[in-house]
Amino acid sequence: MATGTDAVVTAVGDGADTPAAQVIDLHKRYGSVQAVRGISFTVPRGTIFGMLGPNGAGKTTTIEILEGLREPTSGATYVLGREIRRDGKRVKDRIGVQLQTPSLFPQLTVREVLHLFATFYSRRADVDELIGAFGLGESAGRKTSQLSGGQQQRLSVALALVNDPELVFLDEPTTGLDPQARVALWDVIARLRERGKTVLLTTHYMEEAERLCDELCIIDHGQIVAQGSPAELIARNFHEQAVTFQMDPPPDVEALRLLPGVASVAVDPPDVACYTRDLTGTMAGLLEWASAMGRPLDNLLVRRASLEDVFLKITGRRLRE
Amino acid sequence: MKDFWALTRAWAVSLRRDRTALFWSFAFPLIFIVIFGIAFKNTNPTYDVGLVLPQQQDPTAAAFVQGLQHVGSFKLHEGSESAELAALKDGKRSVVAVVRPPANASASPAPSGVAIDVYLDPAQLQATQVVMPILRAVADRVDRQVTGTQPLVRIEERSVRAQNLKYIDFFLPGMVAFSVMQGGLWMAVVFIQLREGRVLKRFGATPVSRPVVVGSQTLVRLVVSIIQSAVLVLAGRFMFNAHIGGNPLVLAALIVLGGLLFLLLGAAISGLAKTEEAAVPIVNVVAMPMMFLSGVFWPVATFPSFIQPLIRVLPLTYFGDAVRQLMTSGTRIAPLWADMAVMAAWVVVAALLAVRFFRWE
Ligand SMILES: Nc1ncnc2c1ncn2[C@@H]1O[C@H](COP(=O)(O)OP(=O)(O)OP(=O)(O)O)[C@@H](O)[C@H]1O
Ligand SMILES: [Mg+2]
Repeated sequence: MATGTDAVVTAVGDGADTPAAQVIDLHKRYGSVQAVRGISFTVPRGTIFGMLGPNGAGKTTTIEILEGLREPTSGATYVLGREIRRDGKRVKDRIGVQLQTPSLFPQLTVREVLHLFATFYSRRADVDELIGAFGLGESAGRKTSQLSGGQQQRLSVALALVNDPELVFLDEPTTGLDPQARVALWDVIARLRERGKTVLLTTHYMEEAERLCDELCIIDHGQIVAQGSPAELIARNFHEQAVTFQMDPPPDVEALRLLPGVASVAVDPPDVACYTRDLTGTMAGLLEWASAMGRPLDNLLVRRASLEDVFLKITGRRLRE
Repeated sequence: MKDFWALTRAWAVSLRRDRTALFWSFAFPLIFIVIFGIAFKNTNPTYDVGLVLPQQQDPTAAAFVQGLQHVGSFKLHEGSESAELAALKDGKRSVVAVVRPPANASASPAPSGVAIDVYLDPAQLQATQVVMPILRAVADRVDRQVTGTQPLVRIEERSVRAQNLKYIDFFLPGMVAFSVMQGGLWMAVVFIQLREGRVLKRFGATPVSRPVVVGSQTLVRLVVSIIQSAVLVLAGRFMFNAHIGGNPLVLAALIVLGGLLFLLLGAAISGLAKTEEAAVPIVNVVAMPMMFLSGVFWPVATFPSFIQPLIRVLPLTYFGDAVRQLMTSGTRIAPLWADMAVMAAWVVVAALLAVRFFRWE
């Protein structure tokens, strides 16, 4: 087990200049399934990095290879400047991990599980503080098997912080949380960044990604299809506003594209989105087209483009929860 | 080391709070003991021992016979060699002891020695498991009497006078071995729960090493097996006045060996089954034949000879035999070596199977 002195030495050795995590041309195949196909990214220290993607995109596979829990088919990963497959013990002492599925001792209490995991590491966070930060005070003495799904999820995230890690991996940390608990967890994550920690998280929630992440990569079918800060991604893809409505069966896309000011059209039946630089022209044209075709525009809305639109534009699909 | 003890404590606390596990580990075998103890309270098995004595009087032979007469559960039949062996073949004798006169008595100035040939019926494995150690102990005592050496091990003295072997004396060691086996094999289900509940995987993301995880769990399980056996032995002793011989430390060592063996088999089984439900039939397929065939509670005499080779490969046969020899005759460790050697070989086999099949996720 690493001593305190050891930890200081390695921190100097790794230097704050090495990225917190790095993935280089990562591939992972399960039998005939190509889950990850050539993913590369770098997570700078002190940032919150997000992986966004639909079910089966390869997020969990990527993050668990970084954590040393799965073997890559090819490619390299570095965590805190080291290879986790060679330097496992040392690296694992300094990272925190929350798995997508909570994995707890059913017969132990919340407090006991936290204390148990704390003994595995050379550094320790204050268990009572964690219990407070995650709103687990009232259930601290209950067996984990008696917790609600959301409480288990919170404990699972709390466990990832039990060693006061430099780098935290969170795989869908807010899934299953009520809105209040979700916002509370966002606060905890944002505070980690304030303290100089690095967070690598996966999510399905656009709002979460937009609010938390400094840097984001959108993964689809095992590949990165877009990367940048949330604002960058929106600005790069859209200079426009979005006019959205519902129509079933879907309209002719070409006809919509010819309307005045329309830059692009995305259809995900029954949802239709027209992105425009000339809102007045487009609206006038659209209403005229609709009445000429005799088709109603249900739930007509105008809004600014969001990450959701970026996702729809890039993958051709909507990201559903 | 800190993580080892913390995990050990966590496993132990988890087990203590798991009512189902406690029931199967402690209450269930205890209920078994009580039911069988009551049902067979007044059944004291006796063993028919054929004796063939030399023509002329021999002091050693006489001392041997006298020793046997003290064993209450032995019914002695003296007769000619051919008649006694015929009776053995007919299943009317458990063993036949043929006492042969000294080959060349005049050559040695020391007190005469006799050779005793013991004929067994292999079908009556269980009977011979009880009878043989007693015969050996009687012979041993006679030997010491005649040569004038002081008995070194008092336990043997006592065991020779262990007069009435009751059914419980016979059943209790079998139940101890059987319970240890069950505890180990059913760990397959616990390993699957830990695997499918991702607990083992979660450890993989911490600096805890796999040997620490496995070692702490093994320690807890072996201690549980020892406590479980102690509870059974004490229950047999105080509720049914069972005869308990043997050094408790030797018994503990046997339980550790047997516990390890079946724990490893349980670990191997856990890897073969995807779910808890799938593990149940596999455990039963492994446990059932041993339960019936290994002679831990049911006489194996009734099994036809073609099954005997199978009986002789089952690990529980040797584990049960060792525990029984130790408890009924308070034997020293020496006669147990053969059983322990086979068990050790089985530990190696089980370890290979566990390494081959056990899965962390
Ligand atoms: N152990 C495995 N064996 C076989 N295939 C797997 C395994 N794990 C994942 N896959 C497959 O690999 C692909 C990527 O899965 P992964 O779990 O990485 O996706 P994800 O992005 O985390 O999805 P989700 O949002 O549902 O959690 C999927 O097609 C999945 O079916
Ligand atoms: Mg996932």
